[in-house]
Amino acid sequence: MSESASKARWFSTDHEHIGRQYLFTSLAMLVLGGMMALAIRWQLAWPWTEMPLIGRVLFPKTGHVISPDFYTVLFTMHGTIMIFFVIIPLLVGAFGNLLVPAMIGAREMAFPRLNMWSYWTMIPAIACLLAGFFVEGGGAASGWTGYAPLASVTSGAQGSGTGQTLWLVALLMSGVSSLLGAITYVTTIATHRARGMTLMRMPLTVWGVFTASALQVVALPMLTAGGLLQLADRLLLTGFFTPQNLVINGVALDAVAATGGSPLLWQHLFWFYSHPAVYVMVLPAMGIVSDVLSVHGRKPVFGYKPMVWALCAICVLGFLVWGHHMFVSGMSPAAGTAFMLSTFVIALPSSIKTFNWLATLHRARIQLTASMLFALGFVALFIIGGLSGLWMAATPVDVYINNTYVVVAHFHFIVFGGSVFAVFAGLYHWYPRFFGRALDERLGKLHFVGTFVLTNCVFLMMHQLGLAGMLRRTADPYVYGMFEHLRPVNVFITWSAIALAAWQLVFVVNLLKARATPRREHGNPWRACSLEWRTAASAPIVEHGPYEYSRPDANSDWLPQARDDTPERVSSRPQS
Amino acid sequence: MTAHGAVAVPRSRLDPARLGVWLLLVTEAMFFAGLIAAYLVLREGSSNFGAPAGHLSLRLAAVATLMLACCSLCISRADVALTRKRGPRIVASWVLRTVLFGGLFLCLLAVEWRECFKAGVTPRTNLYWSSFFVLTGVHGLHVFGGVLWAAWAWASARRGLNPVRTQLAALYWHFVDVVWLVLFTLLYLV
Amino acid sequence: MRTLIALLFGALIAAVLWSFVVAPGRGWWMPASVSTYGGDIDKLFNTITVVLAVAFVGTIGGLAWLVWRGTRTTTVRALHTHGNARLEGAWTFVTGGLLLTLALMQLSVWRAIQAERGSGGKPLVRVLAAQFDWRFRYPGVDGMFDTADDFETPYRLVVPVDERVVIELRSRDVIHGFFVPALRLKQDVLPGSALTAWFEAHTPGEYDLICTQLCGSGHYRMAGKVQVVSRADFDAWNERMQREWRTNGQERP
Repeated sequence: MSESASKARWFSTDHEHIGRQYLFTSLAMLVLGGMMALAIRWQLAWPWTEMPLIGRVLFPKTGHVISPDFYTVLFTMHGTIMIFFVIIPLLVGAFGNLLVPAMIGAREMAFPRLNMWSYWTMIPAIACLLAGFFVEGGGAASGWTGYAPLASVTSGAQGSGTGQTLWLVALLMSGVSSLLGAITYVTTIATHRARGMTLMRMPLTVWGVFTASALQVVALPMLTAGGLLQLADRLLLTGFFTPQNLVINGVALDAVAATGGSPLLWQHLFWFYSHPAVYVMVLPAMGIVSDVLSVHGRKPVFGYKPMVWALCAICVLGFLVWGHHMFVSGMSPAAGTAFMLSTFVIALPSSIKTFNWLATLHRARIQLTASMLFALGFVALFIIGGLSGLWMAATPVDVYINNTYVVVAHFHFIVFGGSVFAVFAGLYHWYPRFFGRALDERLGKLHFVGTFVLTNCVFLMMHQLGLAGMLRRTADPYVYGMFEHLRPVNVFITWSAIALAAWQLVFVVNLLKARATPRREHGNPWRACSLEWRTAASAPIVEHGPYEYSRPDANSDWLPQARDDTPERVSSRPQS
Repeated sequence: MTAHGAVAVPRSRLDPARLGVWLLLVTEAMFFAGLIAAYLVLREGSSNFGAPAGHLSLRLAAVATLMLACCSLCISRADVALTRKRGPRIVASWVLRTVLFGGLFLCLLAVEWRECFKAGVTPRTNLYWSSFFVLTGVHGLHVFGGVLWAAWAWASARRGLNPVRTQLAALYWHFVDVVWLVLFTLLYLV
Repeated sequence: MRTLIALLFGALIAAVLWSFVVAPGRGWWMPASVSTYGGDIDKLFNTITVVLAVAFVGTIGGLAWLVWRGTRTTTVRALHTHGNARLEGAWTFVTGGLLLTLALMQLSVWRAIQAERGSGGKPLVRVLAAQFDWRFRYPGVDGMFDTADDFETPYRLVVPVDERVVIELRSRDVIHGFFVPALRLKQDVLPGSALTAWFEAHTPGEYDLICTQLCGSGHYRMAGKVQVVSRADFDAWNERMQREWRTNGQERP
């Protein structure tokens, strides 16, 4: 391959190429983050014991066991990687690039070069983050939330030196990456739609990416601002988040830095973005699932407009609920009440979406493909995660639950059971479209059954752990006598987690198997209406919504969105 | 690549570049909103905020403000010249003046910072000075970005090319100026 | 496949219900409440849990049934419908009403727990958190802090039973979390401010105190105890501690 061709491969401005780059980078990060999760689980089941075989290699300096310092690094990195370098880039970066232009009938993104830089800003961010493992003091160790002053003061914790600074830089760079992507998506969707592709004819996946990107455009800069101030606190010894009269690790801070700042200020700036970030991680997933349910159920999405309005409502309300992470932080009780009310309000659009998914399945002709199975799994697990959220919304109950394993269970049901299941649903569905190769359906179903069962084995009992009071981010719960009897539950969860990770090999085999088959034109294997499956080369002229399945007046059970795409045009005039 | 050769037909009258810059300005506005909100929260809430000492030269800052106002004025003159279809020389000269005034502003900022360091104040003196250096520093970087943008626009305006580049630079400069007015008010006046 | 899916969803419902039924008996549940407002919180929790259980069984059961029905072999096409405004309105209204009711139900409990915030009630004890231990500073006989007869104890917070106890939480370094599961009390300890919280324990005994906000690598071992004793025992203990503190010649730190 010539030099320019290889350069074109690495630094391509082609959105599909960028989408694939995003996909494989974040899948690799998923493996890394998953390994860290297993190490965390090992520690919780058998604290301070040596991992067979690998313990010797991984932890030569700490007696072959995970040290408390390294444990804090582990869960900090696990959270950061999974959120900023797996779920967001998978849903927005990979699926956004691979699907959005194709679905709206655009030949390219509005800003192809910006789009490329979005990916290439993420790479140094990942490098920075992982470099933390190799610097003195180790990686960042103050949780993915980076609460000040633990994170903002250089003597705050082990790993709070260079590692923490690198973590902040990584966070800021990933923010820039997301922003470049978000601006590209919003502009592309606003200006590059094909003829006839009105907003209300866009597939819900596009709506999901659009609302998620809009959220990022508005909310992310707050995190950038907060991150910058924290960086100043660390490097210039300013005191934005450092109160007076602190003595940390034997250092009296008043003597070395400006003080008088507010730790709560960081929490507000952080959650102002990071709560909407939760919706960034779920809105595109909701869109993907809606599309998959409709195609494989051969039935239009029930209540398309309410679905769109629900997405928009979540997008707007997402800005008003950040304080529900801070009910016990020392925020004023009145603010707590306000955030509690707004949180109950945001539960409404999510429930509306769930009801619409169920109604979409009513009298559908369901094909239980691997993709459909993962979409159904998403609905089931999202229901569990959503319902347990109500405990947390209720302020007095949250006082008890906050920072316990109930919270861990809740967000893993949403982010793993929700977002990751949607990613799998999307991959099984669109793989032929993305790669010209199909994934094996039988293996896919096998993959689903194991993943679904084991996901529940891992995360369900975490509710009980949390109710018993078991705290998050603990390296050894059995320090407390009151948690001793939880050991068998933790052991069970750890075994399930190991099995869940191992089961993903089925998916890896499936990927390798697909790779071994020759690339060919798959056409439109699911007989889907939306534009991304178009085979015609002409400019699409859109005449329908994206979900014209099983129309009684049509010859076949689907009606493509674009006019010229049809072996089976109907004679009657379609309605919009 | 895959076989879908749909031609992009922008169906909307929205210009992608203009929309993109507006979105950029939204993020920038939120970014400064975050910083300014933090400044206000600390100023009202902290017992140890500190106060600007006498070595903050209001005169210098007022001149700097004037420089930025000139930037805005010149770039909008360039914008007007474009709408009136004036020649590239006129447009380019207005853009060039923007670059110069922007550069002058940065020089004044540097002088101001040097005066501060001479007087012994640094970001770690107290929260006021922490905020001062971070806010003016971040804004200074934005002015620097604006200077680069204007220079880029000048390079094409000189040859009568790419009028959009000048128009978008104008949009950005107005934003940078508005932010400065807010910062000037908060840091120097009230 | 379709049978398998039905079984999976059925098993999910069974597993969730089983785990919640069996959990309290095995202690995989909230420890018994010993504080006055703990009962209210538990009642609220139970009410919400019942609502959640009904919603969970209804929706997952519905999902299973819909999938079962939708996978029948048939030549009939799926129902072509884009929605039903009335139905949408109905479930929006009903769910909204339910959520609003739940939201309003908890207001009084929240107000009660937070009552001490900013009311200036006199604290019985100052909780001093630092990486990675708890210390408790008592005002001594004069009831005034920062006087000569103050004394400090590590690890164990001793409080009288059946009395409204106000505590003042301070941190010397980073954020800590003051959590006593049996009291249903959790409050972050914020450096730079003195937050107050309150509780009234109604059963004497010894309860675990847990740090719940990540405070560094020793976070997991930042444990303490809360000991609830009778008023007479408390007074006796108070006096003894004060004497020991003075005889040991420990000055105010």
